[in-house]
Amino acid sequence: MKNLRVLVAWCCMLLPLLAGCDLTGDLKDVEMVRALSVDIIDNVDILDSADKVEAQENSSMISAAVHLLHRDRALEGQYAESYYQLTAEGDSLAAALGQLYDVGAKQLNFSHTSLLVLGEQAAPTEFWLDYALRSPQLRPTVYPVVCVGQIEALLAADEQTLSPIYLLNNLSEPMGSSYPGVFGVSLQDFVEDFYQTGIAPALPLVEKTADGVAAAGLAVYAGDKIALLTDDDAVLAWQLLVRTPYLYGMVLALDDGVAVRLQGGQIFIRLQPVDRAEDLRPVCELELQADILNNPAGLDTQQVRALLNERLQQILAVGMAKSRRLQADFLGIGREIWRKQPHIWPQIAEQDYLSGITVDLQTEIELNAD
Amino acid sequence: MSAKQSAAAVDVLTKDGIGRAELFSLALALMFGGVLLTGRAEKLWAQQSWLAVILAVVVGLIFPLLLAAWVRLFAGQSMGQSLQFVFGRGAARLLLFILAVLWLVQMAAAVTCAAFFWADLGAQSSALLLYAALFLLVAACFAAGGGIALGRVALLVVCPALVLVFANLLLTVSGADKGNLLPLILPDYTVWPDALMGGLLVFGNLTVLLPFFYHTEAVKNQTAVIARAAVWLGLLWLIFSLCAVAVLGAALPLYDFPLLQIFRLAEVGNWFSRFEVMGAALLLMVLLIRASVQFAAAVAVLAELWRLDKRQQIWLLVGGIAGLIWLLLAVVRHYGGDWSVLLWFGVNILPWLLLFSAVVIPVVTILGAWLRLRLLGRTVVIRHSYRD
Repeated sequence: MKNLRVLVAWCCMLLPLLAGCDLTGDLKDVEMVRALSVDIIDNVDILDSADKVEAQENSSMISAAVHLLHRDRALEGQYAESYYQLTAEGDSLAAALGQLYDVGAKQLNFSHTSLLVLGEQAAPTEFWLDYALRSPQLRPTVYPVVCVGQIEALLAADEQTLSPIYLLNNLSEPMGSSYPGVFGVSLQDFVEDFYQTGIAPALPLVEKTADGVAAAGLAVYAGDKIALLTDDDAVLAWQLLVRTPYLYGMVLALDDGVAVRLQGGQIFIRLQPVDRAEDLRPVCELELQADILNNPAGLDTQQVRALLNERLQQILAVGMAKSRRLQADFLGIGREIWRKQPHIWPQIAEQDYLSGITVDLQTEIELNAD
Repeated sequence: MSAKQSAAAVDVLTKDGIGRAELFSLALALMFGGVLLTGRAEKLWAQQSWLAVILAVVVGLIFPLLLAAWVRLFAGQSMGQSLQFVFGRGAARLLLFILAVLWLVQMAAAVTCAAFFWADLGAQSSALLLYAALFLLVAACFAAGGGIALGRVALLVVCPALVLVFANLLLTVSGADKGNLLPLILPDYTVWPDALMGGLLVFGNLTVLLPFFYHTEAVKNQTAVIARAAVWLGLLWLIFSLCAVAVLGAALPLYDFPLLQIFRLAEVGNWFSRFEVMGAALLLMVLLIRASVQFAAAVAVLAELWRLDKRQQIWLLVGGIAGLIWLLLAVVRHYGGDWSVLLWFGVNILPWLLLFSAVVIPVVTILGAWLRLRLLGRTVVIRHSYRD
């Protein structure tokens, strides 16, 4: 029996060796896909009103590109050319990816793919979500991002700039942490919100800048429409309320030239039991830890805390106003009502409930002057 | 059916000295099946699944009691002799045959579930041949070497599988949105039928051990082990159910096998992932062990019915398994990724079959024996130790 126990212990210890890739064949025939990009190439009507984009389905060809790491060039510091890409077209994402083998792809392996870059027109879920969910290779931890305009323009880079794929990776997992940042919305996170009651799921929006690529806002999925949200404070509101566990490293600029760097935080949305929808008054209890990064006016901690509190109130107000205007609950207030006052939810589910709700913010800020 | 012949046919659990840990693992493997893997309770009841699971576990704990009652009443009797004591020779032979057929059907369902579990991973069905071959080896060892072989395989597979499941749950639950467990509303009475069915589908499989409970003196202690295994499985089920809801949230119904998705999500930084490959391999083995116990039980009662010797039993096992592998591959090829027909069978037909084999026959037999023993003024059928 003792020997058997030793054997079982050995089996448990050897288990991790079974994890990892399941590649067969020669490694030189395997191409590790770092990013997958999807775009629409023609025949899509765009209804551009304010900041809304609506894409018509069933009248478009899908262009899929895989971005592969060019190791030699990466080592030589040829940043812009570190990644090379193969592109193919098809009437669905699966068909387009199948076509890649006709344009010279070897054995494509998606198990290390970390990015799913969606063109503005390819952002509607009917173009990519089904494939992403069904693909046995594409990880649920992959980060989908939506780019402003065409992907081709986003990913084009000068010789001296860093590869856009590298920059996008860094945006999702800042500072090489290997853990998601505020913009690192994984496919699993998105799908959970997509099927969740009372929240409009959102993906990060990225755009081409002079230095490469940068976050440009949010693509909010409101029913069958996608709203591109570029208002800074509305995006900050989403980060504070929905992405609270990932705030580490985020810098907030306050009045008087003061800046603080957030070290972490947590949020609890409290709802008192009520019988009528009109009596709902959610209270967001936000706990933040932050370092004072810049304080040219020499304000004391209490004053900086007051400034930060004021700024947070302003951010929430803008976020709620935007949410009401778009009629898209990207801050997840409805989800909290459904979770904590489920008997109220049926009364308001079909209504524009955001207009009738006032959200209060209570903050508890731990400031580090060092 | 003489006692000697029956003993030769069914002396797999005790004569070989199967250890408690081995029997514990074997019992866990028997209960860890499709209901847990497909996350049926979570898909049906979402945030309220904890109540359905608790009710199912309460219902399921009846089965270890059933085994204990059987062992107490039919001391030293084989399955055939026990049935014969209550129903007479002809009816007992018919019931033995019916039980063998039902266990074969349950086994086919377990193997098919294993096949689709494997296919859901995106693996080729041809790779399943490797595992099917291992299955063949295990079952042949079982037939040739007695229950201890299967018990040890179960111990080697079930322990690492559970370690892996808990490790993955820890890795994923730590970053999960605990709010997914809300709202906490008590569901109405409609949860009862599903809870009953869940309890039956999970714990009812324990009664497949009945043909092996022959030598009572040693087996008496083993029923406590099986009861402990049932309690642990209930706890495991509850933990898994809550974690699956917390980790996968509203997306849970999208996945055929939520546990596989949890394995996919588990990562240590960016450098250690793809736990689903080893998780699927281990859980597949657990499913195959369960199928092999069901198969061995069917062969054991058929051997008692037809008075087969050990060699004939092995041929029956090997031939049957070869046929099963063929059936398995044919089913996978035919249905491809669409397993809705089999799911329908598992939800609509299998519970009724289990109700008959795991509840009706044992309960009626125990009640019949109890009444007859009262009339005879005795408490057990016969006292017997296998060393006699």
